[in-house]
Amino acid sequence: MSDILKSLEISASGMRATSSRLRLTSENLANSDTPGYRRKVASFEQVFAGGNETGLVRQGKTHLDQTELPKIYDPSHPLADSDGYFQGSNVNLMIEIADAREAQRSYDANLKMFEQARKMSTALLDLLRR
Amino acid sequence: MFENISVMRVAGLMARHATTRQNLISQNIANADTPDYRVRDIAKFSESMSVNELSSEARKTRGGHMSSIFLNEVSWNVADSESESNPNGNTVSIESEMLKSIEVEREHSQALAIYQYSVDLLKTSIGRGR
Repeated sequence: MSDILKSLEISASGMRATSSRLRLTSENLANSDTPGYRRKVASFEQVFAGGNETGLVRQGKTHLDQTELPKIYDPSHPLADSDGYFQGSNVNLMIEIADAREAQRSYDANLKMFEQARKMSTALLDLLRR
Repeated sequence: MFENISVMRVAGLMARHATTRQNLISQNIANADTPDYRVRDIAKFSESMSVNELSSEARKTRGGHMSSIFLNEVSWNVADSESESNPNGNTVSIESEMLKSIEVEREHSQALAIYQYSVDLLKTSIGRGR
């Protein structure tokens, strides 16, 4: 039974990590037109407790994408310099949408595992009930 | 008490094997995006049976040790499987994990059905048919 509970916990941690990844993606998408905004990226990492592997996953530190910010020509823009250029954001909508889709798929996979572990424990409890 | 009835013992082991494997599958899926994560798996139940010397033949040859083989003493080795990795060093393939999880679900319900059937058999033998 403890293995099943552990599976539920692991799947839940996977879903939590995935949804925080989705949150970063939506932050990036929302700020795709903000001048000077750098897209945020984070990778997942395993959780260790007392040097032991727990099997859980979480989102690691957030980094800012250091690719160069595009220069946009718009002399009427309030942030434009003397040459009429200002720095845009380095968010690429295509990449963000692909990331969001990947997060969704991986959330689905975790949810399916959660569902299955729950079904297994229900079957086990039914055995006791009869 | 029921551990000494071979069918029930094996059914119990099978269910435990299924939950352990389900736990690892959840772990793999939760870590499907973790860099440098290697897939973990245990051998199939049918393969591990002969390794653990739990087949009826093996039990007969060392009958004196029979009482020392208990359900919770049998453990399965977790082996990192060798498969080709993604560019970030991750070896999880969600598709094959899904396939494994279906296998595990079947195994678990099969084990529980066998167990239930044995309980029914016992009940019938003491005159309390279901």
